[in-house]
Amino acid sequence: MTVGGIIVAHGRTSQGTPTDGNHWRPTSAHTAAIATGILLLATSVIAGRADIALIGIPSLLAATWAHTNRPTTPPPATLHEPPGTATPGELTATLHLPSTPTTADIIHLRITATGHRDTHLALAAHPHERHVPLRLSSVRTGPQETFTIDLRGSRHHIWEEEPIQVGGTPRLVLPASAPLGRLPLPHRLRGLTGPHSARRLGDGAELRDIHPFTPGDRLRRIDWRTTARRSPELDTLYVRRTYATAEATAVLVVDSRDEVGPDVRTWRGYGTLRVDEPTSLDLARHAAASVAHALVEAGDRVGLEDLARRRRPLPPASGRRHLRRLVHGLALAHPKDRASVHRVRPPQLPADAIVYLFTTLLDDEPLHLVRTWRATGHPVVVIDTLPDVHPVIENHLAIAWHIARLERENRIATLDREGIPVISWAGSERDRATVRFEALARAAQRHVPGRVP
Amino acid sequence: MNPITELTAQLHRLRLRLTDPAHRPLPDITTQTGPTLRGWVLRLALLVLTPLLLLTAAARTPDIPDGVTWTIAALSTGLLLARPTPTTAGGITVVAAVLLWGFTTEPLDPWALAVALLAYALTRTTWWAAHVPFHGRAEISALLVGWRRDLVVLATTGLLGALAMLASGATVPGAVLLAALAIVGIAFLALATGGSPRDDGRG
Repeated sequence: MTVGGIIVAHGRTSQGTPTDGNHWRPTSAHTAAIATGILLLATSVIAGRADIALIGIPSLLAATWAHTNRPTTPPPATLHEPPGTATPGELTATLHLPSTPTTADIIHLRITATGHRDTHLALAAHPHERHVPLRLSSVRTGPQETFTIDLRGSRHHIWEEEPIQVGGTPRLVLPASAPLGRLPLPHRLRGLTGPHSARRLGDGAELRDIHPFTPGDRLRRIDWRTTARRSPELDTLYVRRTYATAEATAVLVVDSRDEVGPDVRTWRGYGTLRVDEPTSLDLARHAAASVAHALVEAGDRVGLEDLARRRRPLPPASGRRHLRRLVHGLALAHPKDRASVHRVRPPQLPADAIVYLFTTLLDDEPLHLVRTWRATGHPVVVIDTLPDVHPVIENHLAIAWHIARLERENRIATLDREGIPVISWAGSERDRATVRFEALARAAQRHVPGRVP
Repeated sequence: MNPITELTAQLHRLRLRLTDPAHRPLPDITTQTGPTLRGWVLRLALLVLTPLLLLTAAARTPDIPDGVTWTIAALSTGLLLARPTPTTAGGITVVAAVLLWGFTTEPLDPWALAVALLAYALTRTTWWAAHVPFHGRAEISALLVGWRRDLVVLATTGLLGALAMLASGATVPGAVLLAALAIVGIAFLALATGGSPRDDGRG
């Protein structure tokens, strides 16, 4: 069944068979109560002691009472999930348990979700329908598995039903964005409109100079005060000339060839990544979404390239609708088989675009890409998305991580020597990223052609 | 390697192992329910109820040595905690009946009503312990499902006991008679305030 775009698997047993028939059956509690009662009755007759029979009577009576009240319908249950995409930490659903007089009085739930502890619950099936809100503790982004609920009803502590399974659908968790200040821009701006001042003359707000009137100048630009001061006879008219405005183009390049977590043991692909710790790809998505949000809000054009996937990239564009496309594309970025062993071809970039590369710097490919882009005149900012790695206990892994870390530090030092800024986005470094971006933007501003050098 | 250096390295590894973030428990799924009890509380109740039942049953039998009684209670409690199944609970009820039997000559001991009450409580608690894992949770409202039925069952048992006592000609203490009448009254009150004729405790 599909409810609000969410598939609701309902009415199937854990083996996948439909539960159309009546699957209620008396349990061993019924058998044990009857057997104990009869045994005690027989003992009391043999011993001539009525009090021994009294001990077995309550269970016997309860079992007989329950046996006459056989339930007929399975407990209906549906899982409702909010339609559309989700944000990190907002993976929720609501289990709906309608009330039926001829069904269970107690509902047993086993709720499972990837990366979470199983939750066992026994709930009263109230006379009115129940809604049980559920929430996952995952901070991961991208496609995520959600809840699987095994549900079994019982009645009068005697009758029990075959378990049925109610499952949620995999959901796409979009990355959130952190507020950023100013960001570095390309050296040359393009276009005839936009939020930034270009080097050429044109319509804009920033004053360039006062210049004698020439053919082509607009009359509304005549500065009458200056004209009266410099040319009282009105021989020469003076106009205020301003810098034209333009827009910047940025391309976000996400290195999604691998996804590593803080635990080195999982890097071999055998362990399970924890859902309460962001991976390198989660950090890359978050950083890229933050940069994209800041640039689009400033009116710039932003494109997206995914290094692991051979598909059409998102060309640079602006606007809120394009921002949603970017965030959706970021959420869908994920490692492909053998993508990390292939040599990466540098993506084609628009002229004068600045490149934001989101990578873990665990191999030499990012270095190769950065050099290629720099050779063609593109400014590059590298955002380091490797999470803070936990200390390693195993000797062989500790040695391997030590070597990998030295190689990584060497790459970062090389980039630094070549004038490529590297900004870390992991852990506490994320708070400093805004300041680093602001510093880079100010440093670049000093060299923007068009501004008074 | 220097023994002190080796010891320092071992201590460092031990500290890393103890503080290894990878060994943290997995996060929980958050659910919103009414007040709940943990599964271990039910097992704790079994830990109390089982010896209480057996010691209550053996209390009126002076011939049984204390050591035997305590041994039986300990073994039964351990067995029920290890295997909280209806069969185990039934077996312990039979053991309680045998202890009550005690080879005395009285045809009916009013003390049996208390044993019957405890045996029924033990059966119910065992059912819950079998259905709620150690770290699982049971809503308190779910634990109280069927309380009217339980009250009626216990009242009927008391009534049957009183009838048996009258039939056997045994003298009935006034307090016991009063308690039995009170239970019967409450049971009929529960039935009268029940939602449906085939009341199952669903409020």
